[in-house]
Amino acid sequence: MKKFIILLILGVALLTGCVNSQYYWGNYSYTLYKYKKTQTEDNLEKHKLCIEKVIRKSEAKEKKVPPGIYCEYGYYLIMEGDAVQGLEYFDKEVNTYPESETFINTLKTQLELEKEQSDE
Amino acid sequence: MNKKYIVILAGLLILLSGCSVNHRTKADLYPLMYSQRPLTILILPPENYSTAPEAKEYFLSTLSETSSQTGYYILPLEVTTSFLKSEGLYDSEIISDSVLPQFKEYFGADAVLITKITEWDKGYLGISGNVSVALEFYLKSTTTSEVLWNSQSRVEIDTSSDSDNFLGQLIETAIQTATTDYVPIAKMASTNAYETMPVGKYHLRFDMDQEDDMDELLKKSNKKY
Repeated sequence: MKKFIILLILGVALLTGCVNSQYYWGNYSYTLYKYKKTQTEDNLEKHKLCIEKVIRKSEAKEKKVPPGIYCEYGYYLIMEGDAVQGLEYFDKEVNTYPESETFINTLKTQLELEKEQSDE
Repeated sequence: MNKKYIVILAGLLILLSGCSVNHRTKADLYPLMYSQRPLTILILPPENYSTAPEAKEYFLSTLSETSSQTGYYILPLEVTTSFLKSEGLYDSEIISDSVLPQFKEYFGADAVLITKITEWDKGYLGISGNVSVALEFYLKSTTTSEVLWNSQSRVEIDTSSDSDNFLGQLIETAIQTATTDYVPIAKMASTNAYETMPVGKYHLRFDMDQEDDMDELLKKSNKKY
C-alpha cells in the first residue's frame, strides 16, 4: 500500500507538468509572498537572502541564474543606497540575458533621474 | 509485486505519451507564436476580477517562477512592476493597444502578458471548504497588438477533512502548516495555463513542439483536483 501511494504521488507529480528543473528558484515565491503579505524589513531581508541562495546554488550547479534575479537583487541594493554594487548586478543580468539591455538602460536612466530629484 | 509495478509504470507511460491521433497541434492553434517568435516578455500587473483585493500582489509573487519555465526571457517582474507603478500604470486595465509599442521601445519587450484573476477564493481554514484560483492569460505582440497565445486555467482543491481526495489533503496540510496559503495553488494554476504555450528559446524543447497535441494539453490544463 505504501509503495502504491508513493507511485501515485510520483504519477501526480509527473502529470502536473513534468517538473522542470531548468532553473533553480529555491523558496523565491514563498519569501516574496511573505514579504508582500507583511511588508517588514525583516521579510525583505529574508527574501534577499533567498535570492542570494538562488544565485549561489545556480552558479554551483552551473545552471543559468533565472531571468530577472540579478536585476532584482541589484535593484534592492540600489534602493538601499549601494549603487556601485547594484549596477554590477544589472550588468550581470545583461551578460546573462542580453535581451534585458534595453530595459536595464531605461531603468538606469529612471534611477538617475530619481536621484537627481532627491538631491535637489 | 513486481508485475503490479510494471503495469502501473506502463499505464503512466501511456498517459504521458498521449496516445490519440489526428488532433489539433500547437502550430495549428498558435501559428503567430511560430511566425513572430517573441523572445522577451513583459508581464503586466494582473487584472483582478476576483472578490479578493489582495489577490493581485499575491499572485504576482508566484509568477516569476512559473513564467520562467516557458523558456522566454521574462523581464524582471518585481522591478518592472514597481517601474510601471511609478509611471501610473499599475492598473493595467487602462493600458490600451496604442501604448504597446512603447513597451518595445523602453523595455525591449516583444510581447506583453496580460493576466486576469477571475477567481481567488477559500473556505475557512480547518473547516471543510474549497480553495480555488481561476486565471486567464493573453500574450499580445507589442508590434502588431495581435493576441499570439491565450489560455485559461482553474484549480479547485477540495480541502474538506472528510474528503478522500489525496492531493486535497496534502495541500490542506501544506496550507495549515506553512502559512503559504495560495502559493502552491496559484503556481499550479499558472503552470497549467502555460501547458499550451509554445516554448521559448531557453527551453530544451524550443522549436520542437509544433506538433504537440493540443487536445491532450487542454485536458491537462483544465483538470480538477
